[in-house]
Amino acid sequence: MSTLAEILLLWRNPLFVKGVRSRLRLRHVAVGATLTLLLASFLFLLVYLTGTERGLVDPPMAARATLVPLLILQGLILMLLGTGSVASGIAVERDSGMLDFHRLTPRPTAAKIVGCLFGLPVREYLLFAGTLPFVGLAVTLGKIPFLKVLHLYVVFFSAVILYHLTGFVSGMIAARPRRASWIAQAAIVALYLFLPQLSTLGLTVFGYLTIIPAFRAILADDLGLGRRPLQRIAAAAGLTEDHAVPFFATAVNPTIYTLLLQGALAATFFVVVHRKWTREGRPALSKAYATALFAGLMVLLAGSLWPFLAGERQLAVLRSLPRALRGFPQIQISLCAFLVVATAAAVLLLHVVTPTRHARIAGLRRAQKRGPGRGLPIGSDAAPGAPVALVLAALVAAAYALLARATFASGALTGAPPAAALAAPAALAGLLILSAQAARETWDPRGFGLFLLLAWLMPSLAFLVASAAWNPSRLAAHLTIASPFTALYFSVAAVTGGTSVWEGAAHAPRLDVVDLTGSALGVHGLIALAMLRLRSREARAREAEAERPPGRDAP
Amino acid sequence: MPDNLAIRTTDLRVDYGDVTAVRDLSLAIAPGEVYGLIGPNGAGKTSTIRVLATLLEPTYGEVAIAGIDALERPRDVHRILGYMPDQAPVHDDLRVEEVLDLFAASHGIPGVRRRERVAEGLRLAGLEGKRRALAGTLSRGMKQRLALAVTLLHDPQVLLLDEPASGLDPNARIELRDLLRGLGRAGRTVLVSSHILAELEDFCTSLGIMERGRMVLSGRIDAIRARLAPHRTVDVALAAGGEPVSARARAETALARIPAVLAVRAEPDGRLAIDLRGGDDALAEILAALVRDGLRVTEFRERTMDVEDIFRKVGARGVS
Repeated sequence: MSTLAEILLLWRNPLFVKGVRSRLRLRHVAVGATLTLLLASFLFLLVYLTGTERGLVDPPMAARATLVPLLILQGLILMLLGTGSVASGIAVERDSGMLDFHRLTPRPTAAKIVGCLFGLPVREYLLFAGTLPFVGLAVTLGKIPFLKVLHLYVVFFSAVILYHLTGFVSGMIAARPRRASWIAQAAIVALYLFLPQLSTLGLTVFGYLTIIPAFRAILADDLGLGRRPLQRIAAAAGLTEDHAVPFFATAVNPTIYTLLLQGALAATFFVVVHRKWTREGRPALSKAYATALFAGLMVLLAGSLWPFLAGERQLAVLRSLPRALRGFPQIQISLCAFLVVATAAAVLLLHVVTPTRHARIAGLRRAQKRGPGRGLPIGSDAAPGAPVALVLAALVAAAYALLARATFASGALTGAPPAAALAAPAALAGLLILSAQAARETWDPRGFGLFLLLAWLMPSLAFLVASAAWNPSRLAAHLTIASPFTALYFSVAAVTGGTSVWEGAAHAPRLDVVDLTGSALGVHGLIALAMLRLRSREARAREAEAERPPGRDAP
Repeated sequence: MPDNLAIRTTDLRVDYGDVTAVRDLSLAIAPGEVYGLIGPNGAGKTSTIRVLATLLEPTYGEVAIAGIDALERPRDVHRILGYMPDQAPVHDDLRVEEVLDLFAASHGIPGVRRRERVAEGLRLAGLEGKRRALAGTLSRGMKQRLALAVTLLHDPQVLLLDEPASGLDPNARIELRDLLRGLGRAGRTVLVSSHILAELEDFCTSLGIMERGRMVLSGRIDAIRARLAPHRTVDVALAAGGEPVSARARAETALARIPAVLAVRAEPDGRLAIDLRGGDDALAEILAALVRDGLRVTEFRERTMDVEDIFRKVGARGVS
């Protein structure tokens, strides 16, 4: 059997068959199936009969209305329960050592992953199948075009596989495998509930991590749902009347956009699982993949923001902004959101690809063993992460430059700031990325976490306390230059024509944002310098350690 | 280094943080050897086996299984390798025959042959009567036997067994010993680790003693014995009657005329320990001399060095 056939022929995949045998025993399925049938029939009858018997809507419309609760039920079964099954299932296999047995079988790793991906949640797929007759009824009685339903389920299953891969990654990377389910739930909240909220700030790309925009584009009109429930996200997502997604100067079909985005994320998760399956101790991503992924993210973020900053859709974003942010100029909010997200993503990826102290020393020893002139390749897992940090910082600067240029070219802002001020946001983001990477390389994950808490989070919290206690004040403003989030905001405000902090707030002190940006650059420049010195010292210590003969005895 | 070896490591090192588990280990095991890897807990046995099984990346070093580079071509190694970890897990939620079928299929064994291999596995594990039982309901020993059957399903050329007898009852240990002997006779290479010396005594053809990540001693058991004990020793018991001292003196006088005898010592239990060099002719000559001199020999036995003696000789510690 060819490698491709081993991956694609699911019914011949031993790990899928294993899932079918172990998870579809009658006594395990009986309760879940009965409950699913009960719930599905209850939801269908409740919505359909309420609509028809009370004469609220005609029968086809009532049937169409049943599709929404049925889709929610299907989502709960496959996305929530199914993801839990994948995360806990793979964690148990890993914890018990069973995964090692499977690692040693000669099938392609991709085939083993696919077997687990569909085998572990096979019970949930069966329960999902139990809801399909009711969906069939809704589609038939509601006279919904079959192609539209098919279209919807393509997007639905793309999201399901993405969620399941999220659970798979959690199961593979959790330091304590029993915590995998908890990590999966946190990842789902972060990726598919929290991140999509950023679409309201103009980063519409995140809205497509959920199926809501695609759902709206495909079926909402047929279902007779009013625009109100989806209006905010739709507006933020940049959906025009024909639902196309604005991306740079063009428009993309929302289904294609959703599938591409979810597919890219799913591919990344698959790569993580593949690497961890092949060798447990590896970083989740290679340096090359992380760099390419980040470049892709920059393109997506820039492509999402471009139509708004170029002036065509600024009102759409303004309407979609959360109430608390409506006093702030939208361009500042959107650009700041871009820089914060880009910096955070860069730091996260650098955390993933920077080797731990021990991995670095092991790599140096390996290189020494190979002999002079055969050092570690720059992209190897054990190589330092600093070159990647430089590349990521350059990518942020390039994307920012593109967006700044679009903003000024649109004519939305009058006048041009000095070149130094224009470069300040990118420089600040670069300093933050470099200092965070240096901290990660110097102190390993725990120390790095402490660095982020003390140097990044604490000033932000202190700023919030100072703001709450004394209203917008000079103290709060000066405190906040140490916080990366607000420092980035000042730098953007200085570029986009703001002259003082809290322009929109009453009784606010007049603080010059250019001065604050200068101070922020100074503070974060010093932190970066200090971290780079510490990293150099640590690098020398690691080289010395690598040259020592074998270390202490095993306990 | 010749590549017709079943297992070869060169300068293998494994670090866990600041702790070095395996230090520059070079190992060469020929095909058909049953190699016992012994050492106290923490000696580096499991780390070595996990590297050989491609489950652990070494800090550095080369590893080849049947001439295949295990670090570069792990999938090719998986086809010819069987590995059973200490306290091997089984899928608790599958039936016994389903566990075997899963791994037979995973190793690409096709239809009819797979059924035969599953039946053989059930017989080997002694679990024919439990074929429909859920693996989770088996006792620890049964699970261990099932895991061993899983490991042998694809008829691997090289077997890595980490503490395979842990959890087995005495009968199962005897069966395991016979099985490993049979595998050795069938030309399979077996590397088996244990910290219980008596387990390895009967079936290993070669030994490796690890301590603190280093290989203290490695080689064929007979060669090790020859190296550690440059002469042979015979224990002789003489029948009671008369003065024991005079019997010993008479024996010493009788043996003094035989050039092969190096020394005669009185043991605390009253026996004589005779150190000698030479082959079995020398043994026969000693016995004949004692009888000829009118001494009544009730026991005449050559002392053989068992694994425990070897272990004691090389000064390794911490094993039972």
